[in-house]
Amino acid sequence: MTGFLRDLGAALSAETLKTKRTLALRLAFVAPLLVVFLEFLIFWQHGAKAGRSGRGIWVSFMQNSLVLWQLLMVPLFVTLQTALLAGLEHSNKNWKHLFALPVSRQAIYSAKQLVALALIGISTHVLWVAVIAAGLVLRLLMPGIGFEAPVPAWRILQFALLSYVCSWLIIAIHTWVAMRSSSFVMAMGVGVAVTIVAVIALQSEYNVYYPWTLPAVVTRGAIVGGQLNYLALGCGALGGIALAILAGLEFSRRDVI
Amino acid sequence: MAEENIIETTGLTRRFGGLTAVANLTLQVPAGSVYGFLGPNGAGKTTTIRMLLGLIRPDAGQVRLFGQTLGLGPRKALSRVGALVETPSIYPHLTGRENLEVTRRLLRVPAARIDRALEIVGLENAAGRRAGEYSQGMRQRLGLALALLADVELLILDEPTNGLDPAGIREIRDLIRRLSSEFRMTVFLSSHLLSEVEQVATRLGIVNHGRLLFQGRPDELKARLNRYLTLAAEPRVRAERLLAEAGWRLLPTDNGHLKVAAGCPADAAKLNAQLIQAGIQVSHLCLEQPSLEELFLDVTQGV
Repeated sequence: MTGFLRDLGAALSAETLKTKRTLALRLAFVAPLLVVFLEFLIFWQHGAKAGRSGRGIWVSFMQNSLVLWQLLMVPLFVTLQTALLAGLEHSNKNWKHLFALPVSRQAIYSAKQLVALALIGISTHVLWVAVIAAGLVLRLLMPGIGFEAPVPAWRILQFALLSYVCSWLIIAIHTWVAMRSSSFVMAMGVGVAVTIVAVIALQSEYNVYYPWTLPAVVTRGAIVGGQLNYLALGCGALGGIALAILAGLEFSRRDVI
Repeated sequence: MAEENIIETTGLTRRFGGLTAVANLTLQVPAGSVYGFLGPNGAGKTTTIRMLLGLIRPDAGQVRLFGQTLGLGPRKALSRVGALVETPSIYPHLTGRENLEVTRRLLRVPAARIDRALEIVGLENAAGRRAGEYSQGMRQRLGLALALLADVELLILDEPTNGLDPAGIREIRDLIRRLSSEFRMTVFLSSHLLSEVEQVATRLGIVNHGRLLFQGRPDELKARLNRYLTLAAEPRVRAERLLAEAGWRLLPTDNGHLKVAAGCPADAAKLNAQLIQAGIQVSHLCLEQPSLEELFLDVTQGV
């Protein structure tokens, strides 16, 4: 175990250097800012009508941003980030070099997985900070629609983190797809397909079972009903961890032809 | 404990579907040697090398490096191995130095190893440039530098001169000589070009269709085939008939000359006399020693 952790530390250090001069970190900032900006425009145009009845305008703004983020942006964004990380090795046929080193293959896979999680984590934090910043700007531009109320920063952060933890299963799936296939088209194809299905599946009674709608369903339940679906949360979080470990084991045993 | 053979395989076999890429391969690579692993394209060289490095699991047989069997578990033996498999594995968006830093972090070796590796391959001045701007020769040298980062005792190089011009090939050859003589490394070098290997190899292994056809020193390979006579005689058909009736062994030839198995200059004189006595004109007669290239072709095409 100590050896694995040492290898993991080394692999993480190497992985952070590999992302230098790539779009990974810039994407992590641009994607959530784009979502919040879109929502800002909607609220700027429609004012209080853009909010949801029964909830404060701050929570409405956060919820609208989260829906856009979770349903449309996250699957495609996660696809892009995981394809970028895996593509660093695929495009230069670097697996033969990495797997011939005296470093645990599971550690190499895990490092990729953790960097993907970190990038999405950064995006999540950018998202909730941007929501607050956008709300403060709307407070100045459109007084009287409700943004004068105290900023429910803790609630906004909680919903953002809830969404993130529920997304771990999605991140694990897309990491595995990207690592297994050297084709960027394959990875993007999967990302587009699951996104389209998610938009439809959200209306279904089985929406909590579909990994790509699970974060939206859990977050909506927490915001609207004030209740946390622990089972779904567990599926998203623990399912993500379990899949990441199994996928790493499977990937490690593959021949590098 | 000093190992006699740095690399040892027994009965190594690997199939891909119905195709047997490597069949019952038994290699012995002595410590300190420069082992030339030769074979035509598709002979099984790269598959063998991937099995030596644990990239592919064999269907049968075993690989031992430094006396340790290579398995799926901790692969400590690989910490003493540097490898360059086919094309160099580099990140074009990183500089040469950054590329080395990535592998250095994985290997957890001191930072000074980067400068040492750059100095050995002669890339000190280009280390600050992005690897994507490197020429093919520079990329190959960077790949070698990656293989030399750790304190390796065995270097496994798969077609290291691929895509290089003659100057680049000479540079790599000189580097291999230096690594062997100055740094006392064992070098396992695969190629489909005998000409680039025969100048550095102290031991040869020739493979084709996945089978090991020869393993030994270059002079042992040369001893496998006898000398032969090449001659031009008219009329040719009558000359061929006469030589066959007289008990000479005619060898295949791909030019206008006849080729006859022979052992010494006395055979040349005897054959010449027989032909002239029969009224056949001999315009060319030469006792030849087959080149290593001819031996290589003979060995590989004989399968």
